[in-house]
Amino acid sequence: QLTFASVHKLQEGTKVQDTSISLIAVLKKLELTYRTNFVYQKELLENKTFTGAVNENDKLEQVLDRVLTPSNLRFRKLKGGGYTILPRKTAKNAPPETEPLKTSANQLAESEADKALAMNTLASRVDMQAFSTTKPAEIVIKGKVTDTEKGEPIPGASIVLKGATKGTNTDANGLYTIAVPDQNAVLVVSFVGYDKQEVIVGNRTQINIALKPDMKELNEVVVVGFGTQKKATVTGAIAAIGTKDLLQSPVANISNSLVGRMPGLFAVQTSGEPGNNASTLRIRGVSTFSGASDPLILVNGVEVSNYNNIDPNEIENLTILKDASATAIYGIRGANGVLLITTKRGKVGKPQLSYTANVAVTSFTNLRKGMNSYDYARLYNESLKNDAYVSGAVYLPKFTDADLALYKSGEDPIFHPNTDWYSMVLKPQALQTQHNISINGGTEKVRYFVSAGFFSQGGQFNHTDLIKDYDANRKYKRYNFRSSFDFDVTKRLKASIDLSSQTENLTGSNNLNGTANNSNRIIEGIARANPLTSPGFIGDKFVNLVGVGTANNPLADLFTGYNRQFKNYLQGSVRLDYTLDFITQGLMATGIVNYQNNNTETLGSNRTLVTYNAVRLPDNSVNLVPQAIDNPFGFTQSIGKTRRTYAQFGFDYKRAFGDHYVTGLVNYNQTKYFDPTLAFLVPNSYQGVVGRATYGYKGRYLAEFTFGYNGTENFAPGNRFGFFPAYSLGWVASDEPFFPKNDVLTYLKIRGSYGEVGNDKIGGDRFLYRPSAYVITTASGTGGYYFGEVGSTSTRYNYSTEGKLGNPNVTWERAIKQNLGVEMSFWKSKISLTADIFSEQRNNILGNLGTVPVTVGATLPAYNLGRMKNHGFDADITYNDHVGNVNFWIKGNFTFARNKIEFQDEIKRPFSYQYRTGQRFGQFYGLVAEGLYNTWAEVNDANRPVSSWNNNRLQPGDIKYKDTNGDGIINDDDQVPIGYSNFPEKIFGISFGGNYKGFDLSVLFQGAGNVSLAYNRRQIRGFFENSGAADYLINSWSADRYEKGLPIQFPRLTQGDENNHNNRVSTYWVRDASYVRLKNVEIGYNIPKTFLAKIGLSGTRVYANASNLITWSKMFPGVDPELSGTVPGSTAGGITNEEPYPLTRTINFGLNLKF
Amino acid sequence: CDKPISEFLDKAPGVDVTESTIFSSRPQLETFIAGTYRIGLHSIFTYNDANLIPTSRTFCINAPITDEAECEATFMHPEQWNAGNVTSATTLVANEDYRYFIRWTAIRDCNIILEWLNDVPNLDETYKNQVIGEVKFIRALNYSEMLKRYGGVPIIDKRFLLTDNFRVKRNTIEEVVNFIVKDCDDAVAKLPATYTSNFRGRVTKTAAQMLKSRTLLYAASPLFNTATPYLSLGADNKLICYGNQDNNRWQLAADAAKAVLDLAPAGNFALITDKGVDKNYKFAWEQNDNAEIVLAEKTYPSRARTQFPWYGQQPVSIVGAWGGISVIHNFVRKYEKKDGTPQTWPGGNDLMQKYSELDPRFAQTVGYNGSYYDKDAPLLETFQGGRHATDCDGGAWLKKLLPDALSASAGAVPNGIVFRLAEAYLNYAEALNEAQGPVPAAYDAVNTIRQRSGMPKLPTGLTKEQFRDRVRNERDIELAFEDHRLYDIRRWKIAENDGVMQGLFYGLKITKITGSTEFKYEPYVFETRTFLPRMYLHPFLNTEVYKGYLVQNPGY
Repeated sequence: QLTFASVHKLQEGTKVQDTSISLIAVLKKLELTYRTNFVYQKELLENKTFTGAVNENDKLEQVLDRVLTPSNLRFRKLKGGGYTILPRKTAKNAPPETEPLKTSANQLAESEADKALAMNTLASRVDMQAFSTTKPAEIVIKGKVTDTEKGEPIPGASIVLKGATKGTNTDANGLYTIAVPDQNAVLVVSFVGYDKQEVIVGNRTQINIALKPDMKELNEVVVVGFGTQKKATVTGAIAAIGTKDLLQSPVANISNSLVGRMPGLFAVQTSGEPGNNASTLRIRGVSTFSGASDPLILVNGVEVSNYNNIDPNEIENLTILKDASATAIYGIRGANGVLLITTKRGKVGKPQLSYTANVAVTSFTNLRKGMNSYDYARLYNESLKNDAYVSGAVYLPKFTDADLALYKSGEDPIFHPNTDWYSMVLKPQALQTQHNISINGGTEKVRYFVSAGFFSQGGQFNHTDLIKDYDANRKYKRYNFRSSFDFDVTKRLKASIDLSSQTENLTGSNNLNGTANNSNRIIEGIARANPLTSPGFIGDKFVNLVGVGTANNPLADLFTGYNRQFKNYLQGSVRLDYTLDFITQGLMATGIVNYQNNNTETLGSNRTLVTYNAVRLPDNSVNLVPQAIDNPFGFTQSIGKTRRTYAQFGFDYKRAFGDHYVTGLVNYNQTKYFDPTLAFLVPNSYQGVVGRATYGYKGRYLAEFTFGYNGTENFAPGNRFGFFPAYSLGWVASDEPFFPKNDVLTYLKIRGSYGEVGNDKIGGDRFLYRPSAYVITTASGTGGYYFGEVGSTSTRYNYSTEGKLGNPNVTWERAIKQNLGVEMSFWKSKISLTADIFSEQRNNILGNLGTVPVTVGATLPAYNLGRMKNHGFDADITYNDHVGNVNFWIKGNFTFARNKIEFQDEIKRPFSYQYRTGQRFGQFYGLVAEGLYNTWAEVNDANRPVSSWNNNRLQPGDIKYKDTNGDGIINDDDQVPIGYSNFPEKIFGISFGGNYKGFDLSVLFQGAGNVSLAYNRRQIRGFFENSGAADYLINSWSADRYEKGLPIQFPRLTQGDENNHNNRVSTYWVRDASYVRLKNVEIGYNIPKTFLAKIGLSGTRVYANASNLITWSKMFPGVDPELSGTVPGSTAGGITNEEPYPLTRTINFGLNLKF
Repeated sequence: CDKPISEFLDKAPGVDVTESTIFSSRPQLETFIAGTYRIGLHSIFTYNDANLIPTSRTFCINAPITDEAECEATFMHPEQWNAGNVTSATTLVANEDYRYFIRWTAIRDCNIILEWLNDVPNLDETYKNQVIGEVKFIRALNYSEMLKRYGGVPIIDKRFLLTDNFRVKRNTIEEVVNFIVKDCDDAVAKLPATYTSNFRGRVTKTAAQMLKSRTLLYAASPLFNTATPYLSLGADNKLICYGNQDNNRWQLAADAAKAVLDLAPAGNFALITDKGVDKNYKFAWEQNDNAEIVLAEKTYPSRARTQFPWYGQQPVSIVGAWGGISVIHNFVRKYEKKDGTPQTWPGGNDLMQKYSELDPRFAQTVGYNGSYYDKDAPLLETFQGGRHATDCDGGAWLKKLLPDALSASAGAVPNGIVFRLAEAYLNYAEALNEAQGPVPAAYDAVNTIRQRSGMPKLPTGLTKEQFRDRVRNERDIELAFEDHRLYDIRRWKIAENDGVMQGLFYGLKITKITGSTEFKYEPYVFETRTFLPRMYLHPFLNTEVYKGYLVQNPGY
């Protein structure tokens, strides 16, 4: 037993020894405790002491190691028993275990030489072990995990044995115990919000570890215009997401996977059709009423024609630049914000091959239901009766009681059919698959990344096998290829060569002809067809019935031929970086040349479909009479070719002088875009010089100046070039010495920017300054005028007309953008928050004059006349934490942007509330509906305002409108702003997720607000021109329903068009389209590596994810809040027939293998 | 800027054409003249021209606005007129007057040509005179089309420059009529009487004189030739009427019409009289470039029946298009019997017999039950349950305007009549009767039209009023569906009369009689139409009125 007072303490276990005692005394006690003896030279041990703790339960050799090592001594076991104490052979030794270890993460990051040294140390230990006669079976390591800054214990930190699944967690006091097999074992210590550390066990049994808070977010590099910057030094408003988030959405388009994930980004998806289902993106809303609002899209710094077709597996990260300091460097093209896509590049290391496979099932999120035949026929008669009152005609029912009985019983399925066109034309599911294989690796001199992908998506059209000659279903296939090589040619010269290609094939019915919203015709046909117009098909024949109204068989719309579209986007890029250290440290020259070649070819094979009229013969049998002759296919071909060249050359400078950090960039760039469809058939050109200078003092005070000096073809020499500066400042307040040290607010940065950007575009018009050009129409067919006698001398002549006039004074539209942002971290980045408020003022907006009389007879040029304001804020917040072994996170982002047209040369309006100026862009206008007239007493009330429609012959069930101007007449002058525009003012995403052992989960909810949708014709009206009716129209007003107190959602039925009293644009039909979607869910599992190693894999992940799972909105059933059928900003709802292909839900299963 | 940089952004040589290119040679000028014809020529078809008018289009002729027909597609513009829904809101005017936006472009083109013509090198005087004549005619035609729709409109006789004051106010009826007449006189003086065959379709002396005749006929008619307009516009009354009644205006109209008849032979224009009394009429509207066509608009080559202008005019049961145009009984009952006496329609079992007794022009105009329609539908069945009864409110379908050549497998070149010589005879008869009473020359004119279609002469000894009724009826029969009726009704101020544009509108309910070739027929009211006095003139679009330079027509 140990008898020293100091050793007495040891009996209680691992206690810290406060006072040091002589080493000789310690050894004497150990001789007693362990019944052994020591041989040593007294001189060697004299004056040496030991401070610390030993555990009497530990093995003697372990204890000796602990006791001797601090004094640079070692021991050797003697053959006859006992130990001899010797001086250490090597000078260097592991540091005393009582001090926290230097992070081995740092070690790992250090050079190979250091690694080699570490190996040597290990080797010596192995040597040493050779001396022991008994090899320890298992070493129990104990220790404590603390925080480097405060020294406080970290509970819940994970300690895992590297290369094994074995692991433990720290307790409430930060203490842990883990058994390791040998001294070579490596512990991996991690905790959310801290840098991970790896520790070699060595000969220690007590390992205390201090974790450093994870400053990665702040040291993170973000992509900015023409380069990268440390996130900590950024003073502009920037948001970014990485490949992980992108890959979570099983969708075809990049734009769709961004929805709800980035603050400041608005997205509206207006179609679900394979190959045409990209979202419309707007960064911070809409700031101009005349020009385009699309953001500038750059891939690896170069503008591209299409980005949605890039395989998300190729993308490293995606960044949006929101404010002027970030976008001014793009000058004229940056006014609507910039979206930067950076693709993956090779990293030094052995080749890593990654293979991903996804198989998904798509289904419609929401489909309307058509009314059944009986209800349709019954209500058709009712609508005729209602309309007869208005027109003063005699009511003649179209469907007799006998017809109604047959529709009800269904006993005559051919001549009295009840066809559900939605299920006839659309099928519930389609398959989507995606494969990607990539290889990545390299040496110091050459690094590579090569990726090949395949994506295929099927359309959900049904019965496409009825015609054997071709498949009318929509099919979208995409083949992606990307390679990037980085060469360190010499010490100074680096070269990068990138090649990429996207090939898209779209095939299907020729009513899906490959332009935007093209399946609308078929989808609209479904809504247009009534349930009794035809039984659809009999056998393999498409059948129509005679005498029941417009012959319209939407299924037949699929079979008018087929269409194949091939698109290829080819890009090649060479970049050279040359270090100019010999001039001054930190200077570099960079040049990029990029060439893009895009080809499209559309082949159409058209044929008149032979449809059959069903006729009942006297013997009651059915005869099918062909209505056309079976003709061979006609053939059409169209070819599109565009190409773009881009070149950039400039200098980049980065250097630190003590506490001062300076960067600079100046760059010349030019681009030419060749497209035979461009006006005047000449290529489109841009050129400019851009620059940026930043200054940072101690990383605490930041300043940045950016400029773009750009020229455009659209303005006359003299007005052609514009200078667009931006200034921004940042202050990291939490780094100030006077900033109170606290645990709550651990990081605070405040930044602001002011800048001007420009726009030179108005529609597709070009050379706005040039005098009016004349257009000679040479197209054949209808594009001419004929003189001569028909049948003999008639000849077509080209004709010319006067084009748009030129305005030599036209010049830059200027946007003044201001941004104020704050970045904060709380509780050591457990919570981090970024928030920005912004405003944008656009002046000199290129617009068309609105008050010029039609008598001018010419198309007037653009003038710099408009003014518009856009302002709002965006923010995102992230919370990371853990409960036990479960790590979880919650993120939220929110964006609000409201615009206001301040001037647009508007015509004088009789009432002030009618002015579009002063309202938001795309604001809906309409009448205010105040319910329905329910009784004749209300209709006949002498004070009832006169309707200027329906000849004022109103009846119960008609809409009661507000007489806004009080003149006793309801007409268009009573229209007021109603609702919002069809583009949301608010958009948000909330996501959460976590991981437990190998499992992970993430869930994204996304929504939009302050948005309206104007129902289109087919959604709210039936019977019109024999068109079908949605089943919910059964809830239309009728005297019977009113008396019985049944629910009434719609005014009385009518067959009238938009000139009908009830069909005027009003609050009845323009509705709140805000929504919340369960946008994305992903569950994944990483299969343990020990298991994988046996089959040669370094990582395997299986996962399931889904998009658009559930939507909550206030729309009628089967109407998606995003699918208004009109382009964002349009107010044309209500009179449009457009029915886009419905949005789809995707449920996907995937597998990722890493070799 | 230094030179290479600015050159990079300059427009590279392309295919664009400037004004000086267009006026650099006769072939270039001809393209612009072709464009001016295309933009400027109105015809009986109100079909759309998407190449020129990207937004507003109409797909239906105007006959269903009147007592001639019913448009079975309820969404087309006639339905709005029938319901009295004519307002100054955008959609409606755009639906009837789809040329509203390009008419001023046509006028501008004319002004540009007049401005530049002397600068085009190497033009001979004859050609120059011809061009001046053509251009002045087209300008006048556009003004006359506006006159009949809107009354007085701003006179723009030069091209606006960007620096000009665009806000020219409306001119009076008198000023506009005089402006048109002046242009017509100039055109008649300068235009050739004929062209070679390969230039058929260019404006001739006769065409310009016919425009003058039509304009003066409108000017003399009660709508404009009055001291008190249909609705008061106060101090601006002269924008919608002369402000006095002057019977001499009828004499001017008569003289102008007579001048057409006098000019016609030199231009090789004549009534079709040699195809047979039951075929002359059809030949005159069906055959492109026949001798009776003084001017036709020639925008289109052959058009399939599923294309405009045919698409909306055929029965849904034949083409599967948009409703079709059914001929209503209000119109059919205007046909006299072959002996010149009125037909009666009390209802009964002898429909085919009744039809067979009618003026031969009936069968050449109306696709009635039992008639030949086209080679795909050789027998029309409009009886209840018949193959072509769907949506046939009137009981018959329109056949006129649709050539026999048109079928599912063959298209036809639209015969876009601007002027047919028959109109001049009827203009003359009407104006002369109003100016001088039913003098023999008036009888001769109207009888020429009747006799070539096998109808007897009008009885002699009619009073001025009786003659007026007969000549108006003759005009309605002869020029039916050629876009005259709507404007005739308005200039005669008879729109509010029962069955014209207001009141009860009849169709025939036709029932098959088993075991017989005869059919039972029964007139029935299919619709009650509304006409509001303001509809005597079109409204200007609110969007134009709000620009502050136009006085809106009364009632809107």
